[in-house]
Amino acid sequence: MDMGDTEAAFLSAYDTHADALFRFAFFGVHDRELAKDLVADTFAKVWEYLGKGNTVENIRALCYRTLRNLIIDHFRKHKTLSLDALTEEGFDPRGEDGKVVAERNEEYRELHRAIADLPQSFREVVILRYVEGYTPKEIAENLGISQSLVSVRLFRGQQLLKQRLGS
Amino acid sequence: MDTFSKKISSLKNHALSSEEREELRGRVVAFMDASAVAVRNDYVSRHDLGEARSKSLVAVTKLKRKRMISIIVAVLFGLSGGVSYAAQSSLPGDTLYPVKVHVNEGIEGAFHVGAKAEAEFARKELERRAAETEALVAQQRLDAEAKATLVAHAQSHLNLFAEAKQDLEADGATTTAREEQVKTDHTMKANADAFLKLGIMLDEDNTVSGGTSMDGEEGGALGTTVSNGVSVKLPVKASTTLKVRARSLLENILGNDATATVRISGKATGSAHAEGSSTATAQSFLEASTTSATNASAHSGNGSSTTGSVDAEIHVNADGTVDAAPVSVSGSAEASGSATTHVGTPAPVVLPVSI
Repeated sequence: MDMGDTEAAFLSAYDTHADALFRFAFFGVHDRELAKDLVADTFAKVWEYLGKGNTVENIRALCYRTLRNLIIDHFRKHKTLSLDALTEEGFDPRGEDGKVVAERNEEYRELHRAIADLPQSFREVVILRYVEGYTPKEIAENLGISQSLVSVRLFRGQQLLKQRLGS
Repeated sequence: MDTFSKKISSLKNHALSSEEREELRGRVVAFMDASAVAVRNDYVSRHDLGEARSKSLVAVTKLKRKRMISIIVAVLFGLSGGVSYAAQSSLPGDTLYPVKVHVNEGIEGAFHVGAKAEAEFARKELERRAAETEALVAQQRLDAEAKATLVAHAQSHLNLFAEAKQDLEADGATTTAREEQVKTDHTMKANADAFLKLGIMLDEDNTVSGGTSMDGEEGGALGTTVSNGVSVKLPVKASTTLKVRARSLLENILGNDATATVRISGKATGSAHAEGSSTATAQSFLEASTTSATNASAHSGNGSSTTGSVDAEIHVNADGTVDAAPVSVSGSAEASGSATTHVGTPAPVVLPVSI
């Protein structure tokens, strides 16, 4: 594959996965701008990786793993904020039209809160499974963990979430 | 899908807005371009050291030829930084001016990679040409040659901007493209005095335009607009005559495109003492109109009034000839004295333009 093809494939990967990666980042850090920065950093790192002549079989998985590491790095460097604090500071989930959707209904807001309260390891598999629709096998690829671990976390995450949502 | 799954999947509505997606994509593309430049620079430095590994790296670079030349020139001129520094303050007509625009700015341009960066660089360059114009005016050195040099460079910067904007649009970054257009319009507006001295204005569609108006009354405005295949109107003010302005514009176009459509429209209102009359040709009408405008300015205090307008399509041919076809001409100029200018519908004429 020459560089022109690589560029095209890379940008195509951006077009395909940007939204999902953004959601993954957003539900990890609860900060829209930070989530966007992390996604941009993710693609920058992946591009650098490709630029070194490395070949990538699954660019989606590489993007997720890179983003996940960036999120973990972020929390290592910064104190984790509670969702309450984030809400006061303007936690404003927005839809595709850019409009604030947090106020659509209380249920939606509760869902955000419940997701945010999940431990990160559970939250990420729940997001990838139920929001993005990936199979456990794909989630395992994306996160670089075993499929059985995905299933365990998915089960536990789902239980916790149902408890918190009272359903 | 059960209620639980359905509820969670509703979070999928949480997405980037189209503007955010474009902006983020722009950042990614800019990073790709910037990293490509780093590779290119790496290549150049190794090439300079006789360690070229061009086979693998040429595949990586998609450097525009012009940029590569600039970078190589930068390396070649690396030992003569003094000349480069001295050239920085030079003006058209100075010996070192070519070093300034072709070497210094060529190098600078080579490091502006990505459509947005190119648009920014184009604006910076336009500001420089405007500053040079003002400096030459201050030194009374803005002669025809200097003007032609500045116009040619400014046109090239405008072309660069237009290309960058097109690239942004092609990449789907329409919002960024619009923002860049607004910024460039602002730059042109902020430097309008200087550009008008060169006979240049920028229209919405990035075509070169120029304008003239009579000095004096607020209502007086003669607009001259030029576009390549697109008819635009841009009433602007300037202090020179329509004839000079039109000629300058035609020359600008001929310097870039073999053919173009020039639309000249003018309307002069204000007090005037009009002299003579013209019903024969567009050219003579334009001259009469200019005279009226000039006189309006000169006699703005005498209580007379003049209105006049001309609207003509002028086709600049590849061979340098200009076909003028009037679209509509109307108006009259009346003075408190005895002279009256009557305006009819002129016949097509050929304006003498030499370049």
